Amino acid sequence: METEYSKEEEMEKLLEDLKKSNVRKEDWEFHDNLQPVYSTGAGLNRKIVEEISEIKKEPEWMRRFRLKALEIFQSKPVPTWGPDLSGIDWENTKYYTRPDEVTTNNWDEVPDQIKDTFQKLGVPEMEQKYLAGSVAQYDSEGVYHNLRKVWEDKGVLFMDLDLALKTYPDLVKDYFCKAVPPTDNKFAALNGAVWSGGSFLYVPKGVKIDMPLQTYFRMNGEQTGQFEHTIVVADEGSSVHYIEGCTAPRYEKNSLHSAIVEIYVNKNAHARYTSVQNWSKSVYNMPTKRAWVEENGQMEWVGGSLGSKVTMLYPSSYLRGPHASAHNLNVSLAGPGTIKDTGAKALHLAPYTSSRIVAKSISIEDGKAIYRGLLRMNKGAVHSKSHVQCDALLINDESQSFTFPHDEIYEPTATFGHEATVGRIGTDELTYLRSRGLSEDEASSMIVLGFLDDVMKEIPMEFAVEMNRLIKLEMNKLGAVG
Amino acid sequence: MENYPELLRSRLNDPAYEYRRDSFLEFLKAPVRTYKESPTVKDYVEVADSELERMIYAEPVNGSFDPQPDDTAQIVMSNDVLTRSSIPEKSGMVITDMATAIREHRALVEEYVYTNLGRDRTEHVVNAAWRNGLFIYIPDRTDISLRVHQISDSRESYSKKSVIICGKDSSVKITDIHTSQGNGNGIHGQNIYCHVGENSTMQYSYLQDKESTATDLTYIREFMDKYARFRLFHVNHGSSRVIFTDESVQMGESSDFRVYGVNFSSGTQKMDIRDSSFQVGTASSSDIQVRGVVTGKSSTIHRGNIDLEEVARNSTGFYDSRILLLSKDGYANSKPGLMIKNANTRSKHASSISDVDEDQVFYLRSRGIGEAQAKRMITAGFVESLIERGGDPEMISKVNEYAEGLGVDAFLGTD
Repeated sequence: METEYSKEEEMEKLLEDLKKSNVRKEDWEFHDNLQPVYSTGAGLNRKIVEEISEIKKEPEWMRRFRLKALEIFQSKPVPTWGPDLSGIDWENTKYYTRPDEVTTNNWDEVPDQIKDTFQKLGVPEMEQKYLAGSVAQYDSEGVYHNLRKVWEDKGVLFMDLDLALKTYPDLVKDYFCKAVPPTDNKFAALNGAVWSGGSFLYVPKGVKIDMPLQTYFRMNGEQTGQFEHTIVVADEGSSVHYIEGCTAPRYEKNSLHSAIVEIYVNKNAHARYTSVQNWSKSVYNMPTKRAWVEENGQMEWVGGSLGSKVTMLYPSSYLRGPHASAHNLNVSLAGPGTIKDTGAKALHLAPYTSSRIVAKSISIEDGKAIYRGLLRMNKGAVHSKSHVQCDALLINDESQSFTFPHDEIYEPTATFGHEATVGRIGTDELTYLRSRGLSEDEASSMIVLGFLDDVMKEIPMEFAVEMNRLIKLEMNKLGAVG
Repeated sequence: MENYPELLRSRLNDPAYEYRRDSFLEFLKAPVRTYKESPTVKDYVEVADSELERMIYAEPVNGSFDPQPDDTAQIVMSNDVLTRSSIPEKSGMVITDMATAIREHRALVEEYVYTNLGRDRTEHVVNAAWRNGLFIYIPDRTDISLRVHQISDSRESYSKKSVIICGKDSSVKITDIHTSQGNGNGIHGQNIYCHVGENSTMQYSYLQDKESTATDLTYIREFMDKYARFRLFHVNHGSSRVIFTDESVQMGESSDFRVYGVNFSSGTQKMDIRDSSFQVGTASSSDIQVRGVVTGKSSTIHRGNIDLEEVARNSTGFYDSRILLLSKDGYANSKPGLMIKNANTRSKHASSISDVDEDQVFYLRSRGIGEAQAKRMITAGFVESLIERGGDPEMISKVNEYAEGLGVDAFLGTD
């Protein structure tokens, strides 16, 4: 159901929300004293990978695949071209933790402690209100999945990937690691070796789901890793909106999140992937997200990178068929002491393809926001078009912003444009708003929200409000907003 | 290359020995530049260490070299030898070659030459191995225009280091034309360091149009004091491989740096053009605008960083790259960067790569102009508009000549 967008109303609502909100960061950063029923313990070797495969009773091809991925992981060096990753403790990270034996489609059967956690995060409330289906993952395993019957009847499949591998092994095998092979990068190889959980969503030909589907990822344990693998397949002429949310408690020792998201947008299909990431500041967030977009397909990435200690995230669209298009909107917030190395990639591999990338970043205190992107138009991508825009807002004197786009054009009939700006809240703008009766804080928050407006209006209302609250939380500490 | 320290030792009597040695150590420490972000491209213009070695040892070639300098040039360098210097006498002004300057102007050399080792690997090696170069000193409160013609032998490989120093409250215009003669695959490296004193203005017009077999590695570095203004007009047209790097070092407050660059690549030429600003002084500004025209099987990459340091409060930086990719076999890349370490600044970059605008072609064709000619006119307007912003008249006419001279096969369509 689409709601008509009114910028003024939205702004008013958000400002009210900011004033009234008494939400605290601790609302997400609590942790449960839950003893996992199974954990492989710290460290990673061939035996542990075989153990994970054994526990999950996987087919032989998956066991071999994991071991091959482990070899690739061990052979690749830690990337040094981006942020410092020396804080990742490879030896002492727990690569697999199972919270409970239960995975269910009945909310009442979810263990109480886990249920409480998701209730605090508002997950069941969201499902009741506006989701077509949802999956909840706690540490390494999915604990709950549900899909409204109307979509189930139309052949839509939505469940955690482990279950999908058991139930539809051939279908999973067709798509698993096709877009993101383990050879792609060290973190993709790690995921290939120890992946657990994640979602599998298959939308059959011609089915248009008008409500979003959501997966919520919660990492509870200290110094654990979460390595979910998500596959979204939008078959010919279908349409789907898939949402992910992520949180974790804050610990002294660092945790690692290294996910893979593969999205297959077939001919004439439309997929929208929205993710709001609010990992705590002890998490290294290193996901690899990629979409294959076929003829006339449309892919939309909408992302909010708000939490984590270090994030390296570059959602990619491979435009493989004529007239395929990709639209990428991303907001990242580099809070104090954090690094957001984010961006996007669009590879134009077919004629008449188009892409648009909009990246907005905000740096607070000594936060460092980096845009890093690749735009490539191969020879033969005739009359393709692309535009990249990245804007950065610096809040404090010591805030930093870096922009590193890479643009490679091999096709003369293609058109490409890129622009980037970096600046801080202007005194002129502040003075104007204050002369209209707003306090300095209100004026600052209005400018920040206005800066993010392009992205906010693409996000479902509930998520936009959540994102605003999160942004407010970060800025609140500085007395900048609220 | 490993024998170079031996060569250095043989030059123990060279007054610049320590500077050369330090530069060579920097070269050994510096990482080899790669373009690792791209899955397919190693680097845009690859110059192997064995080729740098040819440049370092600068072995003479057989056969005579008969340079034909431009009659209007007041200063002429044939390879690395200063052969003409007909400048009206001005008090305190020095125009000589580096070898002479090292002997006769030690204080200036100590202050301006030995203090800068450069930042890039190839730049270090030029600083270690330069054979000679141009040395110009313009004292305080002096206005002057200079025309320089530097002719290289395309068969020979060697490196040069030139230093131009401009005192306080002066105004200097220099037009520096680089050409070559002969048919050979020589590697020519040169570092041109310009020092602009407090409240001075320097306009430096650089044109490189060497034979299509040579390789040109040029590093221009501008050191700017407070209230200094620098205008760089650069045009790259010749050589088979071009690495052109220009970077400001704006230590002074309120310094103003502007670059207008035009690059034509054709045939199988490869060009790597880097224009950057490094701003430390408060209220400093930079505005870099670069245009490229790619035809044939050539390739061009424009790179540029705006680097605003923590103390560069109230500074601004702008980088704009536009490339016309006219040929189906050529390719163009851009890699602009912003490195902003201070919130009290404004900065922006923009880049675009495309063919000639079809609407503009359609308009001209409706006026009876053939397709290739229409594209030629649009291309000429595209590049000239930049150089006409105060560039040297000879340079403007050269750019016009290059644009008008683009053959029919340079364009996708024909008349």
